[in-house]
Amino acid sequence: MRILLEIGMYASTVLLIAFAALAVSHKSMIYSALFLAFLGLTNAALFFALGYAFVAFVQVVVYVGASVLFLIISVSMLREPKQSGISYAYPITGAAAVLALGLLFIYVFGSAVDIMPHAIGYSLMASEILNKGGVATYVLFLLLALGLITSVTVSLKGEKE
Amino acid sequence: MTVTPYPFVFVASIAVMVIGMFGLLRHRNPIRMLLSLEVSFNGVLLLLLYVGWVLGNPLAGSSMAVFAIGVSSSELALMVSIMMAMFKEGYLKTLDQEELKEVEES
Repeated sequence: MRILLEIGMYASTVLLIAFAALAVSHKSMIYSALFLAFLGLTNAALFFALGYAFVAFVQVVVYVGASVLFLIISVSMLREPKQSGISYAYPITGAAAVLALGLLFIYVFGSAVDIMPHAIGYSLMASEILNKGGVATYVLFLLLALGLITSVTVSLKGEKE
Repeated sequence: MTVTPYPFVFVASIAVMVIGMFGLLRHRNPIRMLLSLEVSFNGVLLLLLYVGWVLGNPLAGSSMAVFAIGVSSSELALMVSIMMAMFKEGYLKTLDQEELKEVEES
């Protein structure tokens, strides 16, 4: 079980780097946004493997499911600007491959002790947030509401004119 | 309690941050720059959780991560809305900053 988890984590880190390289270097913006979504999902898998189940859930539902999807839909409605200059896709992909091999070296020869993921439950984290950062939570809530209202207002203004 | 260090997760998070920064410096398109910034943010998020996990205080790390995800989602929506509105209103004829610079100079 332990070796399976470790191999899964290693594969996730390699995928993470590959998706990051593709998101930065792909010619099409839509594909870049799509690779960003895959990057978020791989990151969520790593969070889950580290024991942060609730953070992984928030990452999938809020970040990938709402924000990055919104970005993909918005980008798909735009005209793609013409590409100019040298493409860095091959050097970046090569560097990512070398880095993946380096990670394999670290994985094989690095020090690994026992796996003990921390189980962070929703109620425990909610009580921690409310006890230690109650004011910050309210400020964050206000900021999010303000950001949402501003986004809708700006979009509607663009529609009217 | 023994904690697994998992050094490859640490190296991967740093690598993702560096790749995002490289994209941020290389691209001139604002949406591409935003995408690169989000790539970098994912690396930072992983690093934050990893450090919280290794230092034995995962609760603080996860709380901050949830805050960061919320703020980042809001910021992403706002930035894309502003760019779309500017593009539709005609302030931006193109999203390529090189072309914008040429228009400004001519």
